[in-house]
Amino acid sequence: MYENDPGLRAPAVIGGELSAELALLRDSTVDFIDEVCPLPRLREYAAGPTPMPPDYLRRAAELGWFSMLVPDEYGGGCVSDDGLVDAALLAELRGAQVQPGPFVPMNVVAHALGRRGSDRHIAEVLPAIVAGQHVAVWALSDPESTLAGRGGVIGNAVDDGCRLTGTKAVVQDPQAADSFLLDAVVDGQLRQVLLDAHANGVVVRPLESLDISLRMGRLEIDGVHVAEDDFVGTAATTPADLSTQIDVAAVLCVAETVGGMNRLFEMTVQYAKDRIAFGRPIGSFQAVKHQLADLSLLLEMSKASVEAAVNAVAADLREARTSGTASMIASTAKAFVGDAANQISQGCFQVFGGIGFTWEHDLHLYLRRASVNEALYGTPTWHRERIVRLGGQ
Amino acid sequence: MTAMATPQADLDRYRARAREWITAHLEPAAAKVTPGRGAETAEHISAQRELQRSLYEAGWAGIDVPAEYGGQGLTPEHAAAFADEARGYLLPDFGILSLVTFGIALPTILAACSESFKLRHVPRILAGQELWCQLLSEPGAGSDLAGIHTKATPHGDTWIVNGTKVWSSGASFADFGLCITRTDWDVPKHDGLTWIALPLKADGSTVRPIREINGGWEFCEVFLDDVVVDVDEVMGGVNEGWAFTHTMLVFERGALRGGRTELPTVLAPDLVELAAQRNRLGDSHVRQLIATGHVYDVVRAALVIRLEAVMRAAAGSGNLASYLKLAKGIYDPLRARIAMEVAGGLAVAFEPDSAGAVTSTNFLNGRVQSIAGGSNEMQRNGIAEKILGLPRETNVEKGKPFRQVLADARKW
Repeated sequence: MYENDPGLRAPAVIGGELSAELALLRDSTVDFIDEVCPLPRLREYAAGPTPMPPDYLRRAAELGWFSMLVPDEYGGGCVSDDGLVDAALLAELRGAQVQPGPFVPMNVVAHALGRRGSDRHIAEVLPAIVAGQHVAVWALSDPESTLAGRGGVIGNAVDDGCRLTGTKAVVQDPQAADSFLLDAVVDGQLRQVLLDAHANGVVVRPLESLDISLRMGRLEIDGVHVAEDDFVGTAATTPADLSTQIDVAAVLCVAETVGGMNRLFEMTVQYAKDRIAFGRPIGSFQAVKHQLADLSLLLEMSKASVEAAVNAVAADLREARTSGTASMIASTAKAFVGDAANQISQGCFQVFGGIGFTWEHDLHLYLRRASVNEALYGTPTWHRERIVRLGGQ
Repeated sequence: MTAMATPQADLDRYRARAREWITAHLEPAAAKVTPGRGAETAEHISAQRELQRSLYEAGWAGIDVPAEYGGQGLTPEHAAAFADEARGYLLPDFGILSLVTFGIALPTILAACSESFKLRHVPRILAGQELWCQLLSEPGAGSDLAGIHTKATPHGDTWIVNGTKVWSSGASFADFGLCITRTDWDVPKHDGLTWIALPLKADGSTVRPIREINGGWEFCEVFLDDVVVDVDEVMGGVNEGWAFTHTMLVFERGALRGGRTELPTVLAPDLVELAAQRNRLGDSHVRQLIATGHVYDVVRAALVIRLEAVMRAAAGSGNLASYLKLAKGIYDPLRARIAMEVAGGLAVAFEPDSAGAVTSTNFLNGRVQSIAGGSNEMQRNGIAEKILGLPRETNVEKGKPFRQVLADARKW
């Protein structure tokens, strides 16, 4: 595959040749995943009480998994000029091996705190996130929605801060979390707070997850007290902050999905070459060839949309701005890849036939991750509506 | 200190001279509306020939073509400088024949034809005296281009050509056709092909325009009955036509490549306008359609940007162009269909030149790319076999004389 066209082996997030630094990041990440959580071990953890090896996040943090979107002066750092490019490359590599853990929601929190965190967040929380010692996840979903801003959590001002009450649904790794970044309507204004997971009145309801390699749950908040230095940003900055967070999450999510679909597609093409029926490899039948060619086009279009979105949102982060243009491209990638991943995974399933419907085969791991990523941080339908709004209509 | 005469200074001087001539002799582009594709008239074409001749006589035609063939013998940078300065002015416009004559025929002739052929034809091309079209497909050979039946038979110092060509863009105004013929039926399919410069005004050549589903007349059918062609009008070598085909297709791909691609940032303007005209911008289904159209536009542009970068960097196999072509063939019809749904009745009953008229025309034209210049199926075969490395289709023609292939095909 790609013997005559080695250029197609480039990562989705960077179409060309990787710099020496990024190549090193890629190699060390691939080695880490192979050693610590390859698919057979991932399956063991998925069936066990904890979804990942005990020191997984800390060791991942040593490779920079949670520092990429944090400014250097706060202990962060990245290997290229754009942290989002590095983070998206990591997401893509994670997707290829359906890695566990709150990579996307934790990086969003790291980004948000690096930009808008209080002095206490920057001094105490951010370094611990970067080191993988503090699990902070973005809990954005209001009940009946996978998105924020519907008033799922309400805050009432009290003398020394405010009291929050409400629910957040579809929270990733809630039991492992030390804190949650969530939005709440406080005295009629949309705000974000970093909530201590161990505070009185915070209850986590574990749920089963479509993606067996992830843990999901529901967050119930009953009169939890938060102080002024728990807030992230102001009422004035919150709408744009949330929008940028969605852009960042969308970019990382599609990079992860495309990493997974790329791997699944490689497995499928190999299978079409190996599997014999009617006296010949099934990949020699034109019906199968054309199916795979169509999937290959969808995959290359997905990669192209990811690369465009990474570049556009990285430019916004560099300039510390939220431009509608970058958000439109991020939403475009989220909408396109969500739909394309469905078609790619179904097309691959069709080529595999019966073996692809077994638990033993890895196809369902990729299918599950892609489906969850499609729904998280806005479905394709939601992102299409966002595109039209951002387009001025 | 006096400046050295650097190439850049040369180029700047050349550019200044070009600008001076252009402003004095060419009309600004806004002054006239050029006819749509396939709508050229004989009067239009002859006026354009005059314009081309004036360019040639003033020394602005074939800028990077060697002087011995009537060009200026300068560099592609000089040619680009002239093109740059001439932007916004009316250059000779022969419709599709501009692309075929100057983008495909001219570079192919320069690369693959004999010295005497070049001396004979290139100056006349540059002077607007020879317009060229392609004579490739036949009623019985489309995707299977090498399966053509048009026959060239040697007769003294001439070839006698017989056959039918179809889908020849612009043949009614062309002087010559790049014509692929079969010259040996007793060797395998690809080994008996020869390209010939076919004189379309010669006796025995009849051009009949074909009316297309959109009402236009871009394509032609060409009937060749005992057309006599001099032996030295062979392009490339006798029975070496398949290698020539590859040379030509490389230039064709280059000529068809558009300019620099950028990501669209404005929300699908055609769809927004249609929705606004129907007062449906608040309809969530219509909004989803608008966004879907925009997503296709952006992702297709992103694909072009990404793959062109890969092709440039890897000096690639050229196979990757199949993705771009297949994307057109799949998404052009889908995109056109979205506009139809947003337009509703506006695309069914409309004033001329209205948004609805454009939508309905695009809907008809939107399907061209799925079959033209290598159908979707041919692109899928190319992607599957050449890029993904899937096993090649069993070749039932392999090693067989073409005559035998035809006989055996009837036994299926």
